[in-house]
Amino acid sequence: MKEIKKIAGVCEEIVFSDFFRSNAKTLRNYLFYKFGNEEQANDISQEAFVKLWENCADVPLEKAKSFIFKVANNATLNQIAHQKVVLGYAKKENPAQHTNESPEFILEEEQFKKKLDQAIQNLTEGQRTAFLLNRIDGKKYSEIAAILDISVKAVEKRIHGALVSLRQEIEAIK
Amino acid sequence: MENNFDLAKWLAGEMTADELEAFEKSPEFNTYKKIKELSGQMEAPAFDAESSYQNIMGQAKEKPVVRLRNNWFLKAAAILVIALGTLFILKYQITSTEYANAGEKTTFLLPDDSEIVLNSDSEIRYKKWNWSSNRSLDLKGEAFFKVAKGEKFDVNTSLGKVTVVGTQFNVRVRNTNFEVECYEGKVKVAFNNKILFLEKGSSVIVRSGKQLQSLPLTTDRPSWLLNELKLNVASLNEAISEIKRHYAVEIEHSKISSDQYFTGILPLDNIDTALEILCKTYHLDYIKTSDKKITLIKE
Repeated sequence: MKEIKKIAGVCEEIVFSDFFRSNAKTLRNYLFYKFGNEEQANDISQEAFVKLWENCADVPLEKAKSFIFKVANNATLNQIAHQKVVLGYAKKENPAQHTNESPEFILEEEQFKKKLDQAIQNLTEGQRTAFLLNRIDGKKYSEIAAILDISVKAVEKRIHGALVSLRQEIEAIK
Repeated sequence: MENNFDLAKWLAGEMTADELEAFEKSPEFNTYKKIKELSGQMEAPAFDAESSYQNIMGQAKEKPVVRLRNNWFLKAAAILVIALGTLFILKYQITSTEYANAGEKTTFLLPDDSEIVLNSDSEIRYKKWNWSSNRSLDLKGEAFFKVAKGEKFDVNTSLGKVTVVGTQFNVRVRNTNFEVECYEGKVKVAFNNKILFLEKGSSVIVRSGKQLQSLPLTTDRPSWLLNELKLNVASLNEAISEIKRHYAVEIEHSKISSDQYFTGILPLDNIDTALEILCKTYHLDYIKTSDKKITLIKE
């Protein structure tokens, strides 16, 4: 099936839709981490996919991913300045842990979350996108490297830098 | 301090046990652990893939898009279609030819299931393309036709044209001889600006442009299909030519000539009997110089 898709190319709607479903969320999230504006992230990622569909004949499937990220990156150059990246927190999955949590602990954690949110805003754009693609979208460093069109080493450097700067911010707020 | 540890490795769970032990003892570890834990619980705003996809397809379809460009797969498909189309046209548009060599008879069907039996040393050309509405073919030599019902059916020859609707008939074109025999239905024969209609059981013989008297047909198919060679007022040369055709032999007869005509039947399955009959009529002898070569001499 993979082979057939490769031959059929992005112009086949089944291939295009399959590609959309496995990449649209990552692109949208990436744009959101970058600019903090959900609506804009949705619009730009949609535009990128429209461009891909219009140019499907010129873009082989294996290049489609870097194509949409490139288009999205170019499109955002003229967009308005960065806004606060508002992220939510998932409910803890393991209910057993709740029994061990004192009200003090929960309060402390809430405070930490606030500090973390604040610290994430102050990361550089490169650090924040790399860090959140890993933490929220579960992307491996190699995948992030492909998306951002940089080396794996550069991704590791950004992740390391992000962690250092997050800790420093959080401890400074203390 | 943190530069001593590769935090990216730690986050990915790739630190060695030694590195991890040392890192865990560092004063910053607890904060890092908390960052890792809580950042792992973070969520981006919900994403509605379905409505986003509908928007994309909606936007894309508003603009007419040429998407055939530069796609080798479609190019290959197009080439294949053209090649198959060309082959199809070559097969049906180009003239088909059926032969029967000397000593052979060939039976074949036309696209409308009309049956044709080609006599020895004869040829038919026709176009398969659109055959049922354009039934027309060119004949050299002699052939028997069993025409399927349908549109008019033309047999073009160098000496005349035979037109029928649905019937059985024999057409013979040898040198300047043009003979048509009608075995069923009605046949229209055109030659030398003359038009004749043949009823079932009648025939026409034209020799060098002159119409000869012909006897009613006694069989339901031409004699050559019954392995007989029927000759009507044939010259010696014609009779010899027929024997050469049917038995695929060479006959040397330069030293003899005769003005007498031959009317009769020669067998097509026994060359010796055929030669004997002919030789008795013309007072000749024949010598077989080899398997396929015969010389006729005066008695």
